[in-house]
Amino acid sequence: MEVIDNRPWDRGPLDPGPIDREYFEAAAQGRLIIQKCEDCGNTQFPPKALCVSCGQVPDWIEASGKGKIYTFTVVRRHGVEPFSSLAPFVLAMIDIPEGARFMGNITGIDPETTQVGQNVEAYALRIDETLALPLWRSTQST
Amino acid sequence: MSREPVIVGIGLSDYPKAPHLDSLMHIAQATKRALDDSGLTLNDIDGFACASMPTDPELHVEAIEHLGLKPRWLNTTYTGGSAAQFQIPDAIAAIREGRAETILFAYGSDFLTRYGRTLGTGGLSVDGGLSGPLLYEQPYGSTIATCYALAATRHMAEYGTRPEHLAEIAVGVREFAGLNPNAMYREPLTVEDVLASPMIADPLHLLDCCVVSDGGAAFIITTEERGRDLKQSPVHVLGAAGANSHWHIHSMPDFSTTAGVASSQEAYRQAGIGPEDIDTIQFYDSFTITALLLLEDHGFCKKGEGGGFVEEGHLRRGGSLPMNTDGGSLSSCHSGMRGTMLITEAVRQLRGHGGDSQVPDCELALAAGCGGLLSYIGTTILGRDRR
Repeated sequence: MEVIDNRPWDRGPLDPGPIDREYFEAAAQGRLIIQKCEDCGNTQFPPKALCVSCGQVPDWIEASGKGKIYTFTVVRRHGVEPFSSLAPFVLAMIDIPEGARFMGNITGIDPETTQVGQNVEAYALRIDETLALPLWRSTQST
Repeated sequence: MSREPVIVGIGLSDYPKAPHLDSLMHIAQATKRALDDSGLTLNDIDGFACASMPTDPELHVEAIEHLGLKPRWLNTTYTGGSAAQFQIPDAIAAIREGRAETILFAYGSDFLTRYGRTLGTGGLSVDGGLSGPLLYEQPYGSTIATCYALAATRHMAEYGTRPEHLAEIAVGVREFAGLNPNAMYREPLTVEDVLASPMIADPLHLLDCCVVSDGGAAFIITTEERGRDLKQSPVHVLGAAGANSHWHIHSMPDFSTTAGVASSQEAYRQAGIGPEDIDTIQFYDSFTITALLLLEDHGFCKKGEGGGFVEEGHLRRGGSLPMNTDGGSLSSCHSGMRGTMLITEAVRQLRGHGGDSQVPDCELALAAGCGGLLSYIGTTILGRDRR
C-alpha cells in the first residue's frame, strides 16, 4: 500500500507494545499485515499474543489491501482535535477477504453518499521514521 | 426455611444533578435509603457487590471502608453498565448456599458534576503515548457515540431499520420521564423532534443519545425467610445470567447481534418462562440502538424486526411491554453504569409502587444491562411471586 510521507502527523503520540509495533512498522514499509495461525488456520486482527481459536502463537501474513465497508458512520461532532476540525468525516469498519475487520477512516469519498458494501483500499499515513497508520480510500468511481 | 433470593430494599441517591455529592456520598445516600426502605440496618449487611468505573478505580474498596462493612462475600466484577447483572448470578448462589445472608448492591457517580456533558463525543484522555487495543480505534476519531452508530448503520443496512424507528424509542422513554419529577428532561418529544436534533454520528442524533448525569442506586438481596418480616413485600430473583462477545467495538463479531441472545436464553431457562410472559422491560438505553438490539436479542421480536415492533407502540405507556418506566438513561439519569438502576425500577414496578408510571398487573419484569460497547450483556428476571 502507498505510504503518504508529506502530511504532518497530528493524531497524538502512539506508543505500541512489541506485538502492536510489528503492525505499525509493517505499515511504514507499505505492508498491511494480519495474524494467521499455522496450526488451525484462524486469521485475527488486532494482533494478539495467542491465537484466540487454538491458543498457539500466530504468524503474520500480508493482506492485499483490498476491502469492503462492513458498516460506517459520519462523525459530525467530536470533542478533540484534530477530529473536531476534520468533521464531518467517515469512520468505518472494513472487512478484508483474507478474514479480518479493521476500523479506519475512509477518505476520497463523499460522506453523504457512502454506502455499506463499497470497495476500498488501504494506504498509510506516516507517523515517524518507523511507524505508519493504515487508512482507507474509496476505489469506487462515483 | 427458604433461602431463595429476594430483593427487599431499594434506594436512589439525588439525581440528575447533585453537586453536593461525590461518588462515595451517592453510594452512602442510596444505601441509607435502601436500608430504610427495607427495615434493615448496616449491621445486617454481610455481602457487598460494587463495581468501580475507570474514573473511580477504587470505589468498591473505598465504599466498604466508608460504610464500615466487613463483607464475608464480595463481588467487584466490572463489565461496564451490566456489572450488577453480572454480579447477581453469584450473589443469588451465595444466598442459596449460605455464603451470605444479606447482600448490598451499590453504585454511585458524580459524572455530570465532574466531567460535564461531552463524554460521548470526547476521546478518552491518554497520558503519554497511546497503547493497547485503543491503538486500533482512537487514531481514527472513534468515540462512544460512533461505536453505537456503527452498529445502528449495520442494522439499517441489513434489515431496513429506519431513523424513525430509533426515534420512537426515545419518544416512548421520554413519555415516562415526563411522569418522573426527578428526570433530567421531561418535556414531551415527537419523532420529528428527535430527527431534527443535531446529528452526532450518523444515524444517531443528539436525542438518540443518553443524558450524562450524577446519580447512584442501591438494592438489597436476602433470603425469602429473612424477607418475610421486613417492611416491603419481597421481589423474587427468578433468573440471572450474563454473556460477552468482545470488549472494544473493533472486535464485535456481528454488529447487529449482541450476547444478549445467550444471556437471555439462560435467564429464561432458570425462570421457566419466555419473553411472552414479561410485563415490563428495564433496558440499558445508552443509545436508542442499544435498546433495539436488546429487544431483538431477548426474543421479544425476531432479529431484524425490532424497528417494526417498536413502531407498533409496544414499549409505550399503556403498551404490551412498557420500557424504562423511570425515563431511562435517554431522558432521566445516566451516571456511568446504570445496571443497578434497572433493578431498582423493576422492583418498584413489581411492588406496584410505580404511581402514574405503574404497569398494570405487573408480575414479571426483565432487566437487561449492557456494558462496554454492546460487549457484556446481563439479563435479570424478577417476579412478584415465587414460581
